[in-house]
Amino acid sequence: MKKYVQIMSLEWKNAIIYRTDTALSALFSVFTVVLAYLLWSAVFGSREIVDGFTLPQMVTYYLLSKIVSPFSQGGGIQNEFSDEIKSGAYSKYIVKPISPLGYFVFASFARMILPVLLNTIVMAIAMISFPQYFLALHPAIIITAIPVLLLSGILSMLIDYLIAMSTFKLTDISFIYILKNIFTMLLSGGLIPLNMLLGDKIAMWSPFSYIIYYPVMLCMGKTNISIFTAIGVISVWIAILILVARFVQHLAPKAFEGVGI
Amino acid sequence: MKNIRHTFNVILTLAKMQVSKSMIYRYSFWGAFLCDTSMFLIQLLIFKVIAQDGHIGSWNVYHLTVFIGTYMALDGLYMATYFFGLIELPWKIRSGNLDLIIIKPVSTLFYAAFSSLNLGSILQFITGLIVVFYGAVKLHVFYVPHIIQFIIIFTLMYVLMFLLMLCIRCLSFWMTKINSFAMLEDTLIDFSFKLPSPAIRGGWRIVLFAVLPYGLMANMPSEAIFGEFSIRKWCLCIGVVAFFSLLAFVLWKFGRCHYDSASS
Repeated sequence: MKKYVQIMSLEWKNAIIYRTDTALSALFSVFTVVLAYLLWSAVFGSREIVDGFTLPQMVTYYLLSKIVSPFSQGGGIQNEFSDEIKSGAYSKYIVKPISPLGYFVFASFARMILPVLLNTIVMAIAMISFPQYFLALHPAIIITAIPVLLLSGILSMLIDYLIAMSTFKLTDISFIYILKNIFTMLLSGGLIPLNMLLGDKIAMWSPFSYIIYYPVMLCMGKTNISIFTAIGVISVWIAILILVARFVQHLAPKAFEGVGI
Repeated sequence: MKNIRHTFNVILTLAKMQVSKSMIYRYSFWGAFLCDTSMFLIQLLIFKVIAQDGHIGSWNVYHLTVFIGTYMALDGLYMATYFFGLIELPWKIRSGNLDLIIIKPVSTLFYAAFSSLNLGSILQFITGLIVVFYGAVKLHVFYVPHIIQFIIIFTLMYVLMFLLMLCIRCLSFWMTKINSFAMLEDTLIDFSFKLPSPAIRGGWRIVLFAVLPYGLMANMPSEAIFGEFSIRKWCLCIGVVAFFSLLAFVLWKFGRCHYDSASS
């Protein structure tokens, strides 16, 4: 476990080197909320409620979804992993006592957590400065959403890991990542609340619903699915993906010659 | 004139070489097209979902279709031509690699901007135009005067995008890192291309139509094809392009004077 803590520590040190970029990225995330406000005020017009949302609820939805969105987009480590497979540098995972899956999950987690924290600070300032545009949130409910967020982060990392491992078969997978990010944003409710897209019958068994939509709706107190059901569903998905990942990890070295692809 | 023809010939030769190169990586070529097209189709789907009574402000779904099509076409055209050349410019300035362009017997700016063509994006440009065509036919506004207006304003916006990108990259002549400006640019492009004109109100109209004119990009050509294009809008578009042409010219000229090769 100590070596994985070390991996996270190294990732944070790297992130601090580029702290200005990370901080500015968080600062510019406010534009997403302004965009949501302008667009949705035009949609609401004189109406009070649209698909169960008031305007402050809708703006708060986008604010919260922006905070948790790094969980759906990965930390960029998948590209590095893919390059390592292509160049032959993947050998280090074979010869060293370190699991590629463990490395991937801990390094991705370290990269995801910093933007989430910075986004939270910036958005909290926005909420405190302009309370009239947002729904008042209860800190106790937000805390209950943290386990779901952590699990959904792991789920997202496992999907990224499986795509990275497909480099063993497909040499160039960069566009698969982009496509994955586009569709994950859509299916996880990052672009629009899922109830508007799929109706009230939310795809309860879809793993993507729990990456953004469910945690955000939970924080807003607008979901009927209990937190235990949510944790149960995500855990099942995580277990399935871990099994697939371990199977792929077992097969992969057989196709790998250590000199790159 | 001879110089322009010479530069054009060089760029054409580079384009031919890049087509051959992109055909080696066919999957990436089609993959990029698939990604871009999916992104725009999803945006269109979202507009259709959020336009509750079929409208966002005064625009209906077909107006929004034209808006998305214009965004797609503009994005495809600048990605195909100058985008990749201009985003490499800060690195070329910082590393001194601009020297290799300055010594070439072609226009430095045009070579730097147009030497990294990405012709795969032409497919996105064509798809965007087809989407615009579809929306315009459904709105019954597909008339020759509207199309001419659209082409002129679209060209102006293509030039404006070039000027805005160039202004930001020229800062590299004086600053070591311009990442924060590039990030602001990315945010504003994303912001403006998702915001149809009826949703831009109050002070935001001044910000997005004049100060940081990214809001004009897809909205103005769309309004031109709808036929709702007043003299005021013509003046706004031409005035903004003229102002940023002057600014880009000054920044490039002074930047070149300030450039001291590999040590800059």
